[in-house]
Amino acid sequence: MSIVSVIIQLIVSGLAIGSVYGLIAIAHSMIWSGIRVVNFAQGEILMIGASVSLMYVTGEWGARLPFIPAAIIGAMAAAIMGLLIYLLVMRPTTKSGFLYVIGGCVGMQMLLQNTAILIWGATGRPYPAIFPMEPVSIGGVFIVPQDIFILLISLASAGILWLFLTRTKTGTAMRASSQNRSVAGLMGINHVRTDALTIIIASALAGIAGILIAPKFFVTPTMGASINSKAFTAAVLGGFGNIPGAIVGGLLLGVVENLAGGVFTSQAKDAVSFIILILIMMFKPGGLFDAGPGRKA
Amino acid sequence: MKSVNCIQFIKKHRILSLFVFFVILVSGIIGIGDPYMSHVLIIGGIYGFLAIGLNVVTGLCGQINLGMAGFYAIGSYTSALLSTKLGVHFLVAFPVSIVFAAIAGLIIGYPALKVRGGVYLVLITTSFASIIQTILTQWVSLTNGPMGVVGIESPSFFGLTVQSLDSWLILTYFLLLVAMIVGMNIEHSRIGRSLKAVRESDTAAQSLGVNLAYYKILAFVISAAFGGAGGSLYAYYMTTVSPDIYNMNLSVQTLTMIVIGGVGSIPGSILGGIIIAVLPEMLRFLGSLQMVVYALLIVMATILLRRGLLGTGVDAIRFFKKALMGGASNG
Amino acid sequence: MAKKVFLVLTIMICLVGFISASGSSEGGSSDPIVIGVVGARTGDNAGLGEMQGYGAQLAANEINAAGGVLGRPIEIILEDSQGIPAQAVAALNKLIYRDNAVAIVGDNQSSPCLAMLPVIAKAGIPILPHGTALNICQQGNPWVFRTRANDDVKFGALAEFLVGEGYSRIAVLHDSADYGIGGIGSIRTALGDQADSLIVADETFTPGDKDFSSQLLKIKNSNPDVMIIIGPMTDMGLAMKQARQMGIDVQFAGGAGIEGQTTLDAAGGAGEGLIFAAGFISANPDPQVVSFVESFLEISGGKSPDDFAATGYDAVYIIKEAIELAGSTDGDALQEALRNLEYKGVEGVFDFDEVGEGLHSMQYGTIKDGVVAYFE
Repeated sequence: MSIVSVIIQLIVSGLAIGSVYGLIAIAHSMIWSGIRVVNFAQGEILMIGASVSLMYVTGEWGARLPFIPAAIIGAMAAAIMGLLIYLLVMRPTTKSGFLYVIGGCVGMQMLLQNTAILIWGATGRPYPAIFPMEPVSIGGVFIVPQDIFILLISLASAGILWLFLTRTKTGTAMRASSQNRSVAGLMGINHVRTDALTIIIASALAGIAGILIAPKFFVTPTMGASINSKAFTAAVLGGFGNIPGAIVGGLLLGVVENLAGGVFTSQAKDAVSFIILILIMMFKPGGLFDAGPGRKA
Repeated sequence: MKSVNCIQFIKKHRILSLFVFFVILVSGIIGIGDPYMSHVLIIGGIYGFLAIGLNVVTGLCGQINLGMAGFYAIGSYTSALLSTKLGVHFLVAFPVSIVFAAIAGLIIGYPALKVRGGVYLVLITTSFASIIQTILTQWVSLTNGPMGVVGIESPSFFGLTVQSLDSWLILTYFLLLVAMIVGMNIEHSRIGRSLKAVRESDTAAQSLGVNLAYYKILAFVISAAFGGAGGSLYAYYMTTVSPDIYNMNLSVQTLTMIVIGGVGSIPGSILGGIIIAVLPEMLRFLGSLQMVVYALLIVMATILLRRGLLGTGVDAIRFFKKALMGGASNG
Repeated sequence: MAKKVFLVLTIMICLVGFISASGSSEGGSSDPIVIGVVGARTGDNAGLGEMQGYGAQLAANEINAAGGVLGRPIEIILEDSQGIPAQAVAALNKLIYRDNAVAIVGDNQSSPCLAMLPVIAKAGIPILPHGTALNICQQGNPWVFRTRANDDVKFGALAEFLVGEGYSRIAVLHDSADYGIGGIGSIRTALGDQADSLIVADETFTPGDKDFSSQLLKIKNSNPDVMIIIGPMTDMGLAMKQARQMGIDVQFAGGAGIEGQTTLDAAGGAGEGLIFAAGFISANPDPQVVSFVESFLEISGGKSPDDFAATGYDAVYIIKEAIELAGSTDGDALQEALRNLEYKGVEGVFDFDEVGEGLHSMQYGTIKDGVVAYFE
């Protein structure tokens, strides 16, 4: 295999996982720009989305559904869980301070993981293959169609969200509210409604991300934790609160991580993302797509 | 911060001194002679160091720090390696561990200075802790990698070896007492007041002539030093260390300790540390529900205890007292 | 402000009183004999403790159904260590000083085992650990009796077996935790001078990291004829699946765990035909193993037994045998009995040497039509 085809292959698989980071990163950025809180239990929302949809794909919870309706139910479960966490934990703790939000969310994370162990067991379950997995060779480069599907669906979800935010009245209201809360309030925008909608959409996105990676990975109670920390990194890389930045940050992180692992040593894979992050923080403290010094994150 | 002040300090802060006295007394009465309880209380005491450290940087200075595991790891490994490879005595290894951790605090304090706000700090401090953990795992020739360092000699003073659980209980709580006095001295000194000024408002503190960069970095250094002390004790107590425990969970747990004990309260830190160690053991009888109930309690505590257990308790007593007195005077 | 002090005192007493309240009682002549089982039952490695727990409980049920030991029933107390050393020590102390356990089974991972050893030595009761790191037994703690083959036996035997089968280009994909680093070390030791020429790729990954594309690409480029995978069960399965997707069509091999149901589920068919070395092979036609597998499926609700299940099961039986041999549950007598014991369990024949290594042989298996079979 030539070095060029190796690099192409690394980039393709990096893009696939990176787009999933991006999707969860969008969820983080939306919530931050809209409500100024962070959901540190986002990884568990992802896990709930994947687990619940799995229950319907395998028919364990009554009806055995095809993938798409099962995925919709999974995303809805994720959205409901996100809303619950927001109402029960994030909202009451925001008044006490950022520290308490982290504490509350981390407690929630433990609670959800351990409840998942009680319900689904600790060992994890396979998610049936949804997309074709047989690799296709294009000019010596092996590409798994599944990766392409993951990439396309992630980007499509991000695109639909962007259209919704820019082209619909509700979306415009959400953006207005995120830019200037008090003025938006004066213009007659209902904060309670936009906040709830932001959380629901963001959590559903995280749920979709979980369902997308479930067939590639495995559904375990702790599946969300490590991917969520990567996604959080991606969101900060792209400038926290910046939605297009989040998806770019995700793709970038996925590709850089993969290239570092493939070209240098595999030990470099973990270290590289942290090092890049610290460097960017030092030289470009607001992330790659800085929203400007006026907006403190 | 002069040592002469110690007696004055005790006079001035009678309540806090009493507090320490009681914590140590109660721990002693309950712990001594009961190995299970002793172990849990020793771990709780070691957690107390972590919590005091985090309370300096987060509680007093308002800088979020989710990298305590990194400082703890540096303290542990410095002691473990000095003791097993060079045969250095505890009395040397313990301070050296603190210094090494403090240097790490200096290194992480600088980039932390550059970033704007909590979210970025969360990320930069967790990344720091992850890098430390990666180094400990991968630098096999120095740290023995994931297999860990075993056979750390117990410290001995004047021919007496601190090996039994009772003696460890005494040593841990004695050092914790020292740490608490140091921590409270810092809180009530000029440094502490400057840190609090920085927490309340960057700009205001700066206009009052507080050197922001200096105090923000100093907060990280002090915090790291406490973390390193805890780490060193952990290594000596467990006699074995391995990189897997110095993870994100530990840093997050430390945050829970100060939320429960009271953000900004140094004595509260100790209470928080002990509670986080004791609570899961209290719930062991629940079997498979143990961690679920534990998590639920943590979530509820975070939501309800806005001033920590200590602050909320005092508030409650005041409230009832007022209600009773009010009732009496009216009736 | 004295109230503050009073308050703290009250909180402390409430907290600690709770634990003390669950007090201990001296064992009478017909009271159950307690065996403590420590393992991760929550957290990332919860799966290991789950299987170990079923195995231990099954053994105790069988022993009690047959009339117990010395006329007393066996009681298994499972404690969660979360895979964290300090928690493992807390669990251990509880088992020793609250529950009066006569022997300890576990932990499944090496670092909690290492942390428990000093406590065990002080308490003077035997421990039967499942962690396979070499330094658990090498420390010369006389109370350690390991019921699984150590890394050197397991991976050394596997490497020699593969070379004997004619493989000459070995790629190793291993995790960066003690299991993987210990494993690759043992493979290198076993291959000796030839290690550098036989091992064509040596790639690591962080446990829990589920995307192996960059490591696998490097392995693919090294053109191996066999790939040894060492790591957590789910990760090994995913690695095999992703390797096949990348067109790596070589023989897969691994130590115990690679044949586990979780691994095979995660591999989704890619595990077919792999070679593994393990103490326990569930396809063993030995009637003892057949009956164990049957009862295990019942108690676990359909999960087939793996290495951890088997070792939990064997460990409890070994303790029972030792108690019968010693005629008492006294620590020193048990230690003596364990040292002299020879016992055939579902993993093979146990014969503890002077450092406490019990299992010295390996069996080789493969996966045929999705189920474990003997390698022929």
